[in-house]
Amino acid sequence: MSGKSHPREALGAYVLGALTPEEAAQVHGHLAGCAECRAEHDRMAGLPTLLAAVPTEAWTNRPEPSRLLLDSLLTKMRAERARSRNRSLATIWGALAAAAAVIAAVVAWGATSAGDDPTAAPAAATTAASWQLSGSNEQRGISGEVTIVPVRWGSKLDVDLEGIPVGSRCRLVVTDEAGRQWNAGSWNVNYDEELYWSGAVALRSDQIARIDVVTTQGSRLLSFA
Amino acid sequence: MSDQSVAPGRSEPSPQAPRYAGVGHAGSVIEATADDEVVRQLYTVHGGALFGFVLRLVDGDRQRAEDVVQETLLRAWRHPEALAEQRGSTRSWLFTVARNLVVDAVRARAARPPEVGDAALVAVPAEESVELEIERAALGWEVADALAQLTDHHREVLVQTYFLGRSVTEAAEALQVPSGTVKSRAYYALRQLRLVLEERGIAGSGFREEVGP
Repeated sequence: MSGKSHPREALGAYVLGALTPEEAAQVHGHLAGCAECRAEHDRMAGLPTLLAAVPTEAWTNRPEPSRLLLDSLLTKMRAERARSRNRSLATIWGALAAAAAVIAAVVAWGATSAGDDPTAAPAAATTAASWQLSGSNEQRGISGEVTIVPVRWGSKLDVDLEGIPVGSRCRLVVTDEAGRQWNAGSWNVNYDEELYWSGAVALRSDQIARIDVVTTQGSRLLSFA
Repeated sequence: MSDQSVAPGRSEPSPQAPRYAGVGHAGSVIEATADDEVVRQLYTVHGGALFGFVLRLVDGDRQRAEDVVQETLLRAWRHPEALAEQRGSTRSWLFTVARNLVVDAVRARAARPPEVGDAALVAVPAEESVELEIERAALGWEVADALAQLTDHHREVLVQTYFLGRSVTEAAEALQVPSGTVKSRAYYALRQLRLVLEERGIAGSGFREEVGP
Protein backbone atom coordinates (compact mmCIF):
# COMPACT_ATOMS: atom_id res chain seq x y z
CA MET A 1 0.00 0.00 0.00
CA SER A 2 2.00 2.94 -1.22
CA GLY A 3 1.73 6.11 0.79
CA LYS A 4 0.76 4.31 4.00
CA SER A 5 3.39 4.73 6.67
CA HIS A 6 5.01 1.70 8.20
CA PRO A 7 3.40 0.81 11.52
CA ARG A 8 6.87 0.03 12.78
CA GLU A 9 6.32 0.89 16.41
CA ALA A 10 3.16 -1.20 16.60
CA LEU A 11 5.18 -4.31 15.84
CA GLY A 12 6.16 -4.81 19.47
CA ALA A 13 2.59 -4.75 20.73
CA TYR A 14 1.60 -6.90 17.75
CA VAL A 15 4.13 -9.61 18.57
CA LEU A 16 3.08 -9.49 22.22
CA GLY A 17 -0.58 -9.88 21.30
CA ALA A 18 -1.61 -6.61 22.92
CA LEU A 19 -3.28 -4.90 19.96
CA THR A 20 -7.03 -4.85 19.39
CA PRO A 21 -8.25 -7.27 16.71
CA GLU A 22 -8.73 -4.37 14.29
CA GLU A 23 -5.24 -2.97 14.88
CA ALA A 24 -3.74 -6.45 14.60
CA ALA A 25 -5.51 -7.03 11.29
CA GLN A 26 -4.11 -3.77 9.94
CA VAL A 27 -0.58 -4.73 10.90
CA HIS A 28 -1.06 -8.20 9.52
CA GLY A 29 -2.23 -6.75 6.24
CA HIS A 30 0.72 -4.40 6.06
CA LEU A 31 3.22 -7.16 6.78
CA ALA A 32 1.85 -9.18 3.87
CA GLY A 33 3.01 -6.48 1.49
CA CYS A 34 6.12 -5.06 3.17
CA ALA A 35 9.34 -7.03 3.26
CA GLU A 36 11.15 -4.54 5.51
CA CYS A 37 8.54 -4.63 8.23
CA ARG A 38 8.25 -8.37 7.86
CA ALA A 39 11.99 -8.67 8.49
CA GLU A 40 11.69 -6.49 11.57
CA HIS A 41 8.73 -8.55 12.72
CA ASP A 42 10.65 -11.79 12.25
CA ARG A 43 13.47 -10.48 14.42
CA MET A 44 11.00 -10.08 17.29
CA ALA A 45 8.65 -12.96 16.68
CA GLY A 46 10.67 -15.50 18.68
CA LEU A 47 10.83 -13.42 21.83
CA PRO A 48 7.45 -14.30 23.38
CA THR A 49 8.51 -17.94 23.34
CA LEU A 50 11.61 -17.02 25.32
CA LEU A 51 9.56 -14.89 27.70
CA ALA A 52 7.30 -17.90 28.25
CA ALA A 53 10.21 -19.73 29.84
CA VAL A 54 10.68 -17.08 32.51
CA PRO A 55 9.47 -18.39 35.87
CA THR A 56 6.80 -16.29 37.52
CA GLU A 57 8.83 -15.49 40.58
CA ALA A 58 11.53 -13.97 38.38
CA TRP A 59 9.35 -11.10 37.23
CA THR A 60 7.20 -10.60 40.32
CA ASN A 61 9.20 -10.36 43.54
CA ARG A 62 12.52 -11.72 42.42
CA PRO A 63 13.97 -13.71 45.31
CA GLU A 64 17.47 -12.75 46.38
CA PRO A 65 19.77 -14.73 48.64
CA SER A 66 21.15 -13.06 51.75
CA ARG A 67 24.27 -10.96 51.37
CA LEU A 68 26.13 -13.28 53.71
CA LEU A 69 25.95 -16.22 51.35
CA LEU A 70 29.03 -15.29 49.36
CA ASP A 71 31.11 -14.44 52.43
CA SER A 72 30.14 -17.69 54.08
CA LEU A 73 31.01 -19.58 50.91
CA LEU A 74 34.44 -18.00 50.61
CA THR A 75 35.15 -18.76 54.26
CA LYS A 76 34.30 -22.42 53.70
CA MET A 77 36.54 -22.52 50.67
CA ARG A 78 39.45 -21.06 52.61
CA ALA A 79 38.99 -23.56 55.40
CA GLU A 80 38.89 -26.42 52.95
CA ARG A 81 41.87 -25.13 51.06
CA ALA A 82 43.87 -24.86 54.27
CA ARG A 83 42.96 -28.44 55.18
CA SER A 84 43.92 -30.10 51.92
CA ARG A 85 47.63 -29.46 51.53
CA ASN A 86 48.09 -32.04 48.78
CA ARG A 87 46.45 -29.91 46.16
CA SER A 88 48.80 -28.77 43.50
CA LEU A 89 47.76 -25.23 42.90
CA ALA A 90 49.33 -25.09 39.49
CA THR A 91 47.24 -28.04 38.30
CA ILE A 92 44.01 -26.60 39.69
CA TRP A 93 44.77 -23.28 38.12
CA GLY A 94 44.96 -24.79 34.63
CA ALA A 95 41.40 -26.05 34.95
CA LEU A 96 40.17 -22.87 36.63
CA ALA A 97 41.64 -20.82 33.81
CA ALA A 98 39.41 -22.67 31.41
CA ALA A 99 36.41 -22.16 33.68
CA ALA A 100 37.28 -18.49 34.07
CA ALA A 101 37.41 -18.13 30.30
CA VAL A 102 33.87 -19.45 30.19
CA ILE A 103 32.73 -17.08 32.90
CA ALA A 104 34.56 -14.11 31.46
CA ALA A 105 32.88 -14.72 28.13
CA VAL A 106 29.51 -14.51 29.86
CA VAL A 107 30.40 -11.43 31.89
CA ALA A 108 31.76 -9.88 28.69
CA TRP A 109 34.30 -7.50 30.10
CA GLY A 110 35.43 -6.39 26.71
CA ALA A 111 33.38 -6.13 23.56
CA THR A 112 32.56 -9.73 22.90
CA SER A 113 30.93 -10.12 19.54
CA ALA A 114 28.43 -12.90 18.95
CA GLY A 115 31.03 -14.59 16.76
CA ASP A 116 33.57 -15.09 19.54
CA ASP A 117 34.08 -18.66 20.53
CA PRO A 118 33.93 -18.87 24.31
CA THR A 119 35.66 -22.21 24.24
CA ALA A 120 38.82 -20.68 22.76
CA ALA A 121 41.97 -21.53 24.73
CA PRO A 122 42.69 -19.02 27.49
CA ALA A 123 46.04 -18.26 25.92
CA ALA A 124 44.40 -16.42 23.02
CA ALA A 125 45.90 -12.95 23.10
CA THR A 126 43.79 -9.82 23.05
CA THR A 127 44.82 -6.71 21.21
CA ALA A 128 46.89 -5.49 24.22
CA ALA A 129 50.59 -6.24 23.87
CA SER A 130 52.60 -8.51 26.14
CA TRP A 131 55.28 -6.91 28.21
CA GLN A 132 58.27 -8.09 30.13
CA LEU A 133 59.90 -7.50 33.47
CA SER A 134 63.27 -8.67 34.70
CA GLY A 135 64.71 -9.17 38.13
CA SER A 136 67.76 -10.51 39.82
CA ASN A 137 68.92 -11.41 43.27
CA GLU A 138 72.70 -11.03 43.12
CA GLN A 139 73.17 -12.34 46.63
CA ARG A 140 71.60 -15.67 45.81
CA GLY A 141 72.61 -15.86 42.19
CA ILE A 142 69.03 -15.93 40.97
CA SER A 143 67.80 -14.03 37.95
CA GLY A 144 64.99 -14.14 35.46
CA GLU A 145 62.28 -12.55 33.40
CA VAL A 146 58.54 -12.67 33.38
CA THR A 147 56.42 -12.01 30.31
CA ILE A 148 52.92 -10.79 31.09
CA VAL A 149 50.49 -11.87 28.40
CA PRO A 150 47.01 -10.32 28.50
CA VAL A 151 44.30 -12.89 27.94
CA ARG A 152 40.55 -12.54 28.00
CA TRP A 153 40.13 -13.45 31.63
CA GLY A 154 43.24 -11.83 33.09
CA SER A 155 46.94 -12.30 32.52
CA LYS A 156 49.18 -15.23 31.80
CA LEU A 157 52.63 -15.02 33.37
CA ASP A 158 55.48 -16.81 31.62
CA VAL A 159 58.56 -16.96 33.80
CA ASP A 160 62.08 -17.81 32.74
CA LEU A 161 64.37 -18.28 35.72
CA GLU A 162 67.79 -19.52 36.62
CA GLY A 163 69.73 -20.08 39.81
CA ILE A 164 66.93 -21.36 42.01
CA PRO A 165 68.22 -24.23 44.18
CA VAL A 166 67.00 -27.73 43.34
CA GLY A 167 64.42 -28.95 45.82
CA SER A 168 62.86 -25.52 46.30
CA ARG A 169 59.13 -25.22 46.12
CA CYS A 170 58.31 -21.83 44.63
CA ARG A 171 55.24 -19.68 44.36
CA LEU A 172 54.48 -16.71 42.16
CA VAL A 173 52.81 -13.89 44.06
CA VAL A 174 51.25 -10.95 42.26
CA THR A 175 50.51 -7.73 44.12
CA ASP A 176 47.86 -5.49 42.61
CA GLU A 177 47.59 -1.72 42.78
CA ALA A 178 45.47 -1.93 45.92
CA GLY A 179 48.17 -3.91 47.68
CA ARG A 180 46.28 -7.21 47.65
CA GLN A 181 48.24 -10.32 46.90
CA TRP A 182 47.23 -12.91 44.36
CA ASN A 183 48.51 -16.45 44.17
CA ALA A 184 49.51 -17.11 40.59
CA GLY A 185 50.54 -20.73 41.10
CA SER A 186 53.39 -22.77 42.43
CA TRP A 187 55.93 -25.29 41.21
CA ASN A 188 58.77 -27.51 42.34
CA VAL A 189 62.33 -26.95 41.18
CA ASN A 190 63.65 -30.37 40.22
CA TYR A 191 66.45 -29.50 37.84
CA ASP A 192 69.54 -27.39 38.09
CA GLU A 193 68.91 -25.66 34.78
CA GLU A 194 67.09 -22.66 33.41
CA LEU A 195 63.43 -23.22 34.14
CA TYR A 196 60.34 -22.09 32.29
CA TRP A 197 56.95 -22.03 33.93
CA SER A 198 53.58 -20.43 33.30
CA GLY A 199 51.28 -19.05 35.92
CA ALA A 200 48.20 -16.93 35.64
CA VAL A 201 46.20 -14.38 37.56
CA ALA A 202 42.70 -12.95 37.18
CA LEU A 203 43.98 -9.40 36.89
CA ARG A 204 44.36 -7.17 33.85
CA SER A 205 47.99 -6.45 33.11
CA ASP A 206 47.58 -2.78 34.09
CA GLN A 207 46.37 -3.85 37.53
CA ILE A 208 49.60 -5.72 38.27
CA ALA A 209 51.92 -3.68 40.44
CA ARG A 210 54.53 -6.26 41.31
CA ILE A 211 55.40 -9.92 40.86
CA ASP A 212 57.52 -11.91 43.30
CA VAL A 213 58.93 -15.38 43.34
CA VAL A 214 58.82 -16.71 46.89
CA THR A 215 59.39 -20.05 48.51
CA THR A 216 56.46 -21.72 50.21
CA GLN A 217 58.33 -21.17 53.49
CA GLY A 218 57.99 -17.47 52.92
CA SER A 219 61.36 -16.19 51.79
CA ARG A 220 61.43 -13.95 48.78
CA LEU A 221 63.73 -15.17 46.04
CA LEU A 222 63.22 -12.58 43.36
CA SER A 223 61.15 -9.55 42.52
CA PHE A 224 60.11 -8.47 39.08
CA ALA A 225 59.59 -4.76 38.73
CA MET B 1 52.90 0.61 37.36
CA SER B 2 53.69 1.74 33.86
CA ASP B 3 53.51 -0.88 31.21
CA GLN B 4 56.31 -0.02 28.86
CA SER B 5 58.20 -2.95 27.38
CA VAL B 6 61.48 -3.66 29.08
CA ALA B 7 64.28 -4.97 26.91
CA PRO B 8 65.46 -8.39 28.05
CA GLY B 9 68.37 -8.04 30.38
CA ARG B 10 69.25 -8.20 34.00
CA SER B 11 68.33 -5.31 36.23
CA GLU B 12 68.81 -4.52 39.89
CA PRO B 13 66.02 -5.61 42.21
CA SER B 14 63.64 -2.84 43.24
CA PRO B 15 64.95 -0.90 46.23
CA GLN B 16 61.52 -0.30 47.76
CA ALA B 17 60.47 -2.19 50.86
CA PRO B 18 58.10 -5.14 50.36
CA ARG B 19 54.49 -3.99 50.14
CA TYR B 20 53.16 -7.18 51.63
CA ALA B 21 53.98 -8.67 54.98
CA GLY B 22 54.03 -12.18 56.26
CA VAL B 23 53.98 -14.45 53.26
CA GLY B 24 53.65 -17.85 54.87
CA HIS B 25 51.79 -16.40 57.82
CA ALA B 26 48.51 -16.99 56.12
CA GLY B 27 46.39 -15.58 58.89
CA SER B 28 47.86 -12.10 58.92
CA VAL B 29 47.47 -11.23 55.28
CA ILE B 30 44.29 -11.00 53.26
CA GLU B 31 45.26 -13.03 50.27
CA ALA B 32 42.95 -12.91 47.29
CA THR B 33 43.47 -16.05 45.29
CA ALA B 34 42.51 -16.80 41.74
CA ASP B 35 39.92 -19.37 42.79
CA ASP B 36 38.21 -16.86 45.07
CA GLU B 37 37.76 -14.67 42.05
CA VAL B 38 36.35 -17.45 39.90
CA VAL B 39 33.79 -18.36 42.54
CA ARG B 40 32.95 -14.72 43.06
CA GLN B 41 32.24 -14.37 39.36
CA LEU B 42 30.18 -17.55 39.29
CA TYR B 43 28.14 -16.16 42.13
CA THR B 44 27.70 -12.76 40.51
CA VAL B 45 26.61 -14.16 37.17
CA HIS B 46 24.60 -17.18 38.28
CA GLY B 47 23.95 -16.87 42.02
CA GLY B 48 20.62 -15.07 41.81
CA ALA B 49 19.18 -17.38 39.18
CA LEU B 50 20.51 -20.44 40.99
CA PHE B 51 18.88 -19.30 44.21
CA GLY B 52 15.57 -18.63 42.48
CA PHE B 53 15.64 -22.01 40.76
CA VAL B 54 16.46 -23.90 43.96
CA LEU B 55 13.94 -21.95 46.03
CA ARG B 56 11.18 -23.39 43.90
CA LEU B 57 12.58 -26.91 44.25
CA VAL B 58 12.60 -26.65 48.04
CA ASP B 59 9.10 -25.20 48.27
CA GLY B 60 10.24 -21.76 49.35
CA ASP B 61 12.52 -22.80 52.22
CA ARG B 62 15.08 -19.98 52.04
CA GLN B 63 17.58 -21.51 54.42
CA ARG B 64 17.66 -24.78 52.55
CA ALA B 65 17.92 -22.94 49.25
CA GLU B 66 20.92 -20.97 50.47
CA ASP B 67 22.60 -24.16 51.73
CA VAL B 68 22.08 -25.83 48.37
CA VAL B 69 23.41 -22.80 46.48
CA GLN B 70 26.52 -22.80 48.67
CA GLU B 71 27.07 -26.50 48.26
CA THR B 72 26.60 -26.22 44.50
CA LEU B 73 29.20 -23.47 44.17
CA LEU B 74 31.57 -25.40 46.44
CA ARG B 75 31.24 -28.35 44.09
CA ALA B 76 31.99 -26.11 41.13
CA TRP B 77 35.09 -24.93 42.96
CA ARG B 78 36.15 -28.46 43.87
CA HIS B 79 35.66 -29.72 40.33
CA PRO B 80 36.66 -26.93 37.96
CA GLU B 81 37.51 -29.47 35.29
CA ALA B 82 33.90 -30.69 35.29
CA LEU B 83 32.69 -27.13 34.91
CA ALA B 84 35.10 -26.39 32.09
CA GLU B 85 34.40 -29.59 30.18
CA GLN B 86 30.63 -29.85 30.33
CA ARG B 87 28.74 -29.49 27.11
CA GLY B 88 25.76 -27.35 28.00
CA SER B 89 25.77 -23.90 29.55
CA THR B 90 27.45 -23.21 32.87
CA ARG B 91 24.05 -22.35 34.28
CA SER B 92 22.55 -25.68 33.21
CA TRP B 93 25.42 -27.48 34.89
CA LEU B 94 24.94 -25.55 38.11
CA PHE B 95 21.19 -26.15 37.99
CA THR B 96 21.80 -29.88 37.48
CA VAL B 97 24.16 -30.13 40.42
CA ALA B 98 21.73 -28.18 42.60
CA ARG B 99 18.81 -30.33 41.58
CA ASN B 100 20.76 -33.49 42.31
CA LEU B 101 21.59 -32.18 45.76
CA VAL B 102 17.93 -31.47 46.46
CA VAL B 103 16.77 -34.84 45.13
CA ASP B 104 19.46 -36.72 47.06
CA ALA B 105 18.38 -35.00 50.26
CA VAL B 106 14.74 -35.84 49.64
CA ARG B 107 15.64 -39.46 48.94
CA ALA B 108 17.71 -39.65 52.08
CA ARG B 109 14.81 -38.39 54.13
CA ALA B 110 12.43 -40.80 52.43
CA ALA B 111 14.64 -43.72 53.49
CA ARG B 112 13.84 -42.96 57.08
CA PRO B 113 10.62 -44.36 58.54
CA PRO B 114 7.84 -42.10 57.32
CA GLU B 115 6.66 -39.53 59.85
CA VAL B 116 3.03 -39.45 60.70
CA GLY B 117 1.11 -37.68 57.97
CA ASP B 118 4.02 -37.50 55.58
CA ALA B 119 3.41 -40.07 52.83
CA ALA B 120 4.93 -38.16 49.92
CA LEU B 121 6.90 -40.32 47.54
CA VAL B 122 9.65 -39.00 45.39
CA ALA B 123 8.74 -39.57 41.77
CA VAL B 124 11.90 -39.99 39.74
CA PRO B 125 11.33 -38.67 36.24
CA ALA B 126 13.15 -40.13 33.24
CA GLU B 127 16.62 -38.72 32.67
CA GLU B 128 15.86 -37.01 29.38
CA SER B 129 12.90 -35.08 30.63
CA VAL B 130 14.93 -33.93 33.63
CA GLU B 131 17.62 -32.62 31.33
CA LEU B 132 15.02 -30.78 29.29
CA GLU B 133 13.41 -29.34 32.39
CA ILE B 134 16.74 -28.06 33.57
CA GLU B 135 17.58 -26.60 30.17
CA ARG B 136 14.29 -24.79 30.16
CA ALA B 137 14.78 -23.52 33.70
CA ALA B 138 18.29 -22.34 32.86
CA LEU B 139 16.99 -20.59 29.75
CA GLY B 140 14.14 -19.02 31.68
CA TRP B 141 16.49 -17.56 34.24
CA GLU B 142 18.82 -16.31 31.52
CA VAL B 143 15.92 -14.44 29.94
CA ALA B 144 14.97 -13.17 33.41
CA ASP B 145 18.49 -11.82 33.86
CA ALA B 146 18.25 -10.18 30.44
CA LEU B 147 14.96 -8.56 31.49
CA ALA B 148 16.68 -7.23 34.59
CA GLN B 149 19.09 -5.38 32.31
CA LEU B 150 16.32 -3.42 30.63
CA THR B 151 15.28 0.00 31.83
CA ASP B 152 12.34 0.10 34.24
CA HIS B 153 10.09 1.62 31.55
CA HIS B 154 10.91 -1.12 29.08
CA ARG B 155 10.60 -3.93 31.57
CA GLU B 156 7.32 -2.76 33.06
CA VAL B 157 5.63 -2.54 29.67
CA LEU B 158 6.68 -6.14 28.97
CA VAL B 159 5.36 -7.20 32.36
CA GLN B 160 2.05 -5.52 31.61
CA THR B 161 1.55 -6.74 28.07
CA TYR B 162 3.22 -10.13 28.21
CA PHE B 163 3.26 -11.50 31.73
CA LEU B 164 0.00 -9.89 32.78
CA GLY B 165 -1.49 -10.30 29.32
CA ARG B 166 -2.98 -6.82 29.22
CA SER B 167 -3.98 -4.97 26.08
CA VAL B 168 -2.29 -1.72 25.10
CA THR B 169 -5.25 0.23 26.47
CA GLU B 170 -5.26 -1.65 29.77
CA ALA B 171 -1.50 -1.29 30.12
CA ALA B 172 -1.73 2.43 29.37
CA GLU B 173 -4.32 2.75 32.14
CA ALA B 174 -2.19 0.79 34.61
CA LEU B 175 1.00 2.71 33.79
CA GLN B 176 -0.73 6.07 33.45
CA VAL B 177 0.77 6.81 30.03
CA PRO B 178 -0.78 7.26 26.57
CA SER B 179 -1.42 4.19 24.40
CA GLY B 180 1.10 5.41 21.84
CA THR B 181 3.76 5.40 24.55
CA VAL B 182 2.92 1.82 25.49
CA LYS B 183 3.25 0.75 21.87
CA SER B 184 6.54 2.47 21.26
CA ARG B 185 7.99 1.29 24.57
CA ALA B 186 6.95 -2.27 23.78
CA TYR B 187 8.73 -2.02 20.45
CA TYR B 188 11.95 -0.66 21.90
CA ALA B 189 11.77 -3.04 24.85
CA LEU B 190 11.72 -6.03 22.53
CA ARG B 191 14.55 -4.64 20.43
CA GLN B 192 16.62 -4.08 23.53
CA LEU B 193 15.74 -7.49 24.94
CA ARG B 194 16.85 -9.11 21.72
CA LEU B 195 20.17 -7.24 21.86
CA VAL B 196 20.81 -8.28 25.43
CA LEU B 197 19.92 -11.90 24.69
CA GLU B 198 22.26 -11.94 21.71
CA GLU B 199 25.08 -10.65 23.89
CA ARG B 200 24.37 -13.48 26.28
CA GLY B 201 24.51 -15.97 23.44
CA ILE B 202 20.84 -16.84 23.30
CA ALA B 203 19.41 -17.08 19.81
CA GLY B 204 16.30 -14.99 19.17
CA SER B 205 14.45 -17.74 17.43
CA GLY B 206 13.28 -19.40 20.63
CA PHE B 207 15.70 -22.29 20.42
CA ARG B 208 19.30 -22.44 21.48
CA GLU B 209 20.99 -23.17 18.22
CA GLU B 210 24.32 -23.87 19.73
CA VAL B 211 24.65 -25.60 23.04
CA GLY B 212 27.97 -24.19 24.08
CA PRO B 213 29.45 -22.65 27.20
